[in-house]
Amino acid sequence: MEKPPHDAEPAPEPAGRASGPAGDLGDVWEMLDALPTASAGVDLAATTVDLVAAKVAGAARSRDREPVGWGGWIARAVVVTAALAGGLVAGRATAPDPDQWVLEKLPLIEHVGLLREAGSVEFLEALAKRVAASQGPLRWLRYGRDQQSLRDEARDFDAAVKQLEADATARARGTDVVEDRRRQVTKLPAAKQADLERAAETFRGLSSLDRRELTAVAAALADPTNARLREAARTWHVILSAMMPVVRRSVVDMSSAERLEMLERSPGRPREDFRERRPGEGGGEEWRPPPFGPPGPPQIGPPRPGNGGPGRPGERPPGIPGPPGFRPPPPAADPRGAPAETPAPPR
Amino acid sequence: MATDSVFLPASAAGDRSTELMLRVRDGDVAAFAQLVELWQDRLVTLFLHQTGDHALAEDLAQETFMRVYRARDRYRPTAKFTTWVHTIANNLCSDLRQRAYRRLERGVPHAVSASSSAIGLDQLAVAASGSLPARMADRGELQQVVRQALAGLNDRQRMAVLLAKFEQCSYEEIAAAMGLSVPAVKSLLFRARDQLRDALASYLEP
Repeated sequence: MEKPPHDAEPAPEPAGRASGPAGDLGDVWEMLDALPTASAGVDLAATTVDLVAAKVAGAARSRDREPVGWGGWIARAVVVTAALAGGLVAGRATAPDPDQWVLEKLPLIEHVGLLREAGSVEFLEALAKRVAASQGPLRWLRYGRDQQSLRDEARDFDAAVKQLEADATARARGTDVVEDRRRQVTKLPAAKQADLERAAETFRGLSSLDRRELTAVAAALADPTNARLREAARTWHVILSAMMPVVRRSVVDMSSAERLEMLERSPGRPREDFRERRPGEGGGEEWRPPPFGPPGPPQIGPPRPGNGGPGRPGERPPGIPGPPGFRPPPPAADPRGAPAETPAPPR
Repeated sequence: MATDSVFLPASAAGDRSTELMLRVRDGDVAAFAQLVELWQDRLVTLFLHQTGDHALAEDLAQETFMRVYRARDRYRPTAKFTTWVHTIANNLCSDLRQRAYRRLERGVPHAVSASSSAIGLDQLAVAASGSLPARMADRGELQQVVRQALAGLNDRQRMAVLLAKFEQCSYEEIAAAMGLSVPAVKSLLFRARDQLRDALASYLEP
């Protein structure tokens, strides 16, 4: 994409050459002429305008929910039409197949939710260290959904990873996967196609840096030799599945740094789990997802009272910041009548 | 001195950009497409020399355009459009740098280096050493050596040099884009010059 430097014709010196940056850089200024100028790829403008057109169309759709007058409708129609026309003119000139981009990115689009949950390779690496040390987040599995649904989530995750791996293998072999995908998508029921369109819109709405990050995550998960990272991602997926939807959304929206900070803030295990168990209390064992690999026999026994059962409705897993305005319920009373945590008396 | 003919002169591009940006602010997507056409090569060049990675440079250029679009309502013609874009570009580079630092702190190898143009000291030493005779290098070699020398600068020095060279910015414009004072920019450029001189010593006329 680089062009040779354009130094064939001497051009007039820019204003302020003697006293400006050019003058002060002195003889090295001339040497910098050797640096080439670069050209953007043929589809940069097209995809950028497409992104903006999609945003405009999305914004128009959300505004449409409010009652508007004829003038408003016309203005919005003009804006949307102009956006689409701009996108078409700039985009289709260089992208002959409008579905090409979606089909090329299909594995990422299909699993965009899962990849956004995983966040980044950086985060998964840090999480893998904690999982290896059996620290922290596993205790969150004690809360939220029932164990069977968590096992289902783990299975769904495995299936998605297998799909990513298969796709990576096909790419490595040089197979033209786009045509296969086109056929598969055509055969999908209308509801599935609509889901896919929504996922494509989500993926398209991400910033290019976020898309790059998710691509890296997908590549890492597709690597069968990277079992450690897969295990971490799988555990994380199950943990998120155990969270209340509102908490889950807020955690997914966190940056990698915020997630890591959250994990670092949370203690390795909750105080409750360290204290000596009283007779009749649960053993405090935590549910762990089965190791990554081919499905085997279930590794967890029947649920026992106090052992990884679902939390109380509305209970927030410890260590997870709630959404703005979220107030955790008051602590449960101890069976013996004393409050679970007695505040220190004022001095 | 050579001029990059693919670019409009900065002043002309600035005026045209301001005009287009005002139309974008009013909701004209076609004007945005023109703005992208006008600026894409400039931004890709700036980011390419800042990061050394063409694909990343394109991603950053696209992100710059998206930020321009998202902030269109806040644009006022009193602010020079070029400075505005350069500020966004500089902020993006800072973000990238911080991400890279965080990765380094956590010991995570990054898939795409935030400063993959940062050539090793050994290569810089070769470029600067007497092992390369002071002769007229062919264009490819010279280009490579200048790239390596530029990569040896720190990110802020490199950004200041690139804004001066490729965007023909004045001290004031560089200062505004990078959020620095004019003396700080001068100091950056002086240090950059000294470092470039050292790295390119074999190629500079005595």
